[in-house]
Amino acid sequence: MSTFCRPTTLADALAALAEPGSRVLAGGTDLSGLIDRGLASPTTVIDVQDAGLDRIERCGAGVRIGATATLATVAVSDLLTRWTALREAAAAAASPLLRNVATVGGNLCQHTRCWYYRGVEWTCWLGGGDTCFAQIGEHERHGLQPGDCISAHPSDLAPALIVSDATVVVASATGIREQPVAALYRRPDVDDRSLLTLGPDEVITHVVLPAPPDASVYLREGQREAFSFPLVGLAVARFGERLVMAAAGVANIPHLLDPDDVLHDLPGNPQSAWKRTVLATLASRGRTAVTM
Amino acid sequence: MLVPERGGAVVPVTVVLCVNGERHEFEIDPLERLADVLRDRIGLVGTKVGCGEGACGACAVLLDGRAVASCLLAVGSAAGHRIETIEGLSRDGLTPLQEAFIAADALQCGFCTPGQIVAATGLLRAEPAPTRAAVRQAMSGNICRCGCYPKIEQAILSCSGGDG
Repeated sequence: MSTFCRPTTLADALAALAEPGSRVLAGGTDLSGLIDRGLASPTTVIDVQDAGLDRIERCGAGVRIGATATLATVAVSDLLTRWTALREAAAAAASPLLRNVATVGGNLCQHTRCWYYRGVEWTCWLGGGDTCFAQIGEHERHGLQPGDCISAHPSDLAPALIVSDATVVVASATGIREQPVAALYRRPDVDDRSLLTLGPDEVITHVVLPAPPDASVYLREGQREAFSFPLVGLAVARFGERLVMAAAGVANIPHLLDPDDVLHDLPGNPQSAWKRTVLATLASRGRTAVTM
Repeated sequence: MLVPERGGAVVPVTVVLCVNGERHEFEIDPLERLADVLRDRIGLVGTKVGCGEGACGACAVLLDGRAVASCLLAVGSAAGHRIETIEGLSRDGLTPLQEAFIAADALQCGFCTPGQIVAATGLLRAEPAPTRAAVRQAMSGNICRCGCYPKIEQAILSCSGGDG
């Protein structure tokens, strides 16, 4: 039997998280599905909604966003008007019903929507098995980057934060560290199938945005406009003459693109090659949008 | 079934819910879905469970005035918040929005209608005179398999400026 708690301070949450097998619950929109499907079996569920991590506040020339700020809040925050890509990404994720509870931290840490990974009938390579069923099955919505797992990264926020040069503050009972958002993610290998660099006792407490880009935009293609995950989600930011592009949906982690060769290292295959066309098109539109 | 029933795996705790202004106390697995608790323990079966994964909106309830999917919300997380269901909204009879749904013939089978009314109520409370685009955006998490979208939109817009 597992247990449930709702700590009212970060310190209490971190102490609970130090116990092996515990897991953080924020909006619950992803974790509840993972528990339902047996992809998560926490011994303790730590609901952090009361831990005081939901504020959005100025921080120097930038903004600091608490990890439990909801996507709905981020999408309309007056403090974030100069981070267009981030607001657009938050407004594009899921649906209004989910955005009212889904959080920034949870969106960054959500698991892939790969139907083989999520299916209860199989244990795929990413789930600890020995076969990436997507590669021998249906993978028209999967990633374009070759590897042991070709799932597609599902977070709209991650590319928007990466092109904004954002960092995440990560805390555990033993300390705090800050790292670029991109460093939250890792390509899985045979010894460690995790797509995140967070330790089991760590939680994201804040996202920190430095000074805003001169212009930014988030463009995406989903199956439909609402409640769809990004088949291709592209964030573009411009700092002076410098363009930065990052995408969701094209690799199993957020993918930093070379603005002069956006398809580099993303060969795809016959089923998923259509995403290359979409990515190239969005990159062209994004470049125009931030340089006009 | 593909997705197992939730509940029974977590040590029960005392959870106090405020639903439609009434206090309910349970010894319960805190990870049970709010939707199931509303339906099976409190008997508020107006809240429907369609997809069970937040995609259809049939389970929408208001949590502190904001529409959320109660099929994804753990009951332990809902404690301490003000929960309103379709029964609470219409406690004193049909609301103007419900009357508008009837007038616009904005339903066929009616399964999704409670969730549609709840989501639209959340919208009209926050934004009493929404544009058509705002209505479409706010209602984009509520699916109607009978395809009544134009009439749902018409019903909500006809209440625009009212109190929903």
